[in-house]
Amino acid sequence: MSRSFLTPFLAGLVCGAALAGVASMLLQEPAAPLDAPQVAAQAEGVRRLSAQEVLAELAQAQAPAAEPTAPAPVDASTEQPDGVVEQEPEGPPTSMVITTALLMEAQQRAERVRDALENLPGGEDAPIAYQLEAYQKALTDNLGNLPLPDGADKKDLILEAFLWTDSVQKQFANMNPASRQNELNFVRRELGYTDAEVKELAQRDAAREARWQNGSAYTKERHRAAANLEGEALQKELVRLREKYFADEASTIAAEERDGFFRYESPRIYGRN
Amino acid sequence: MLGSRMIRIVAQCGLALVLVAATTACRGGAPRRADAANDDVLFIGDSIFALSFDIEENLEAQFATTFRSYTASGARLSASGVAPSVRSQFTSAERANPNSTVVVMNGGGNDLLFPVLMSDPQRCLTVSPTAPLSATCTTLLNTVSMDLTNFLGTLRQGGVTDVIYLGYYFTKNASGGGLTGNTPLGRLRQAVDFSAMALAQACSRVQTATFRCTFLDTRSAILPADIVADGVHPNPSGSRKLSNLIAPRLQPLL
Repeated sequence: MSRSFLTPFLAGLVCGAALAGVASMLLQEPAAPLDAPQVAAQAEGVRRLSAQEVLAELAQAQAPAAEPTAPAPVDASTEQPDGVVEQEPEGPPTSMVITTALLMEAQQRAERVRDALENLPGGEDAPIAYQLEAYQKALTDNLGNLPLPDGADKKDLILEAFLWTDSVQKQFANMNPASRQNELNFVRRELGYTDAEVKELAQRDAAREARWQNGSAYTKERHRAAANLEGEALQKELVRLREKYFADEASTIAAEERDGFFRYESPRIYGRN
Repeated sequence: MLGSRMIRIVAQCGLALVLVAATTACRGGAPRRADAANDDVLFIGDSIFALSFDIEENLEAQFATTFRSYTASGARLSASGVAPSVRSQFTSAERANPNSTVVVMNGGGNDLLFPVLMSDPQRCLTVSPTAPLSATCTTLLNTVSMDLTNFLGTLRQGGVTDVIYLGYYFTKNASGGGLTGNTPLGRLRQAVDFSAMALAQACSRVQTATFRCTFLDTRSAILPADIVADGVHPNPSGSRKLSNLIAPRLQPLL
């Protein structure tokens, strides 16, 4: 592919997606690749390029160049389905090509992290430490330089993404409370939490555990009452049970149940709720 | 030549980082206003308030007074982070002055948005604006709703009598939806809908004879034109609309 064709081709291919890519970067939205090359390729009947291919071909095309070739003309604005017109960001089109390709690559890397989370090695049978190592490797390989908020937020988000993994939660659910707490403490330390933070979070875990134990005991009694009583007798018993188990929160729990929501029968996410 | 372009890229990425930092930064933990002309009213919440403070300033101008404000950009409802959580904002405010009885607040938006920004492990982005939410995302949003329920219980126990909760509106297609059809934040529509339902229920469930919680549904009021280019935060017209929704609920409590 000659340089004279390639540069306007690439510019035309990617500049239209520049607003999407840049805005997505601003929002750090790595989860959903915009797949701009596919869209543009479909529209123009040309072959599909990955972000890496865009970068590679661009680098090859630019190597001997002193000045960039003018890009193909593109519409300066993009109308959204809701009728709002977004202006394209200002800047040299060629740098936008590079930027967009880099951004798409960042999104693809984030996708790979999510894939890694959803396919942790060993499923429910492998040690959590082993799975954490695989997750950390995916993070290092793919998101090592992804701009995320500095500090605790990043650490928390990385931890939470791991804790929301099905196989990890199933393993937690099969552990006794002490073992589970040990594993949670280990995971947090591995992800950079200080001893003081681990201790504080363990206290929150203990409070949550007590709340769920209390809720589980209530739920068992509630089911027993529902099996043996009906009508006004059942309602009176439920009022008594809610006051016994939840004291000041009894009216709130009753309101939830009137809406058909039973919080202690909803999924438990250890380390989170 | 390529070097200068790379510098430009770095500059653009740097701008992105600055903007991201602006949406998550706080002012070193210091509240916007700990002591006010009207200490009965306390504002707590996230960057919908704190990025510009326009909402608070509009209301202060309208009622010719000042209110206490501990809102902070980047705040999540209960979880720790760079910014003080909404729960910890209240704790700090109570420590300074435990006499506020009216709380104007939001919270929970970043509990949804931040995971979406970090590979969306709960899959809250739907494939289209009408596609159903994943079960994991509904679990997340129910968890946030329960966090709010528990927090409102804390407010009730802390002597608060009235809460005005400002709900979240639909995020805007910030990424140029014309090209892709479904840009990322437009794909949060289902999550925002579910979240509005769950948070409104949390508000209604904690009400007692002495504790009122009013949920303000902003979804039909805030249009894409009321949101800045990041697709999330209100511009001056958006903040004005949000202030106008709060004002009639706040006025009888002053």
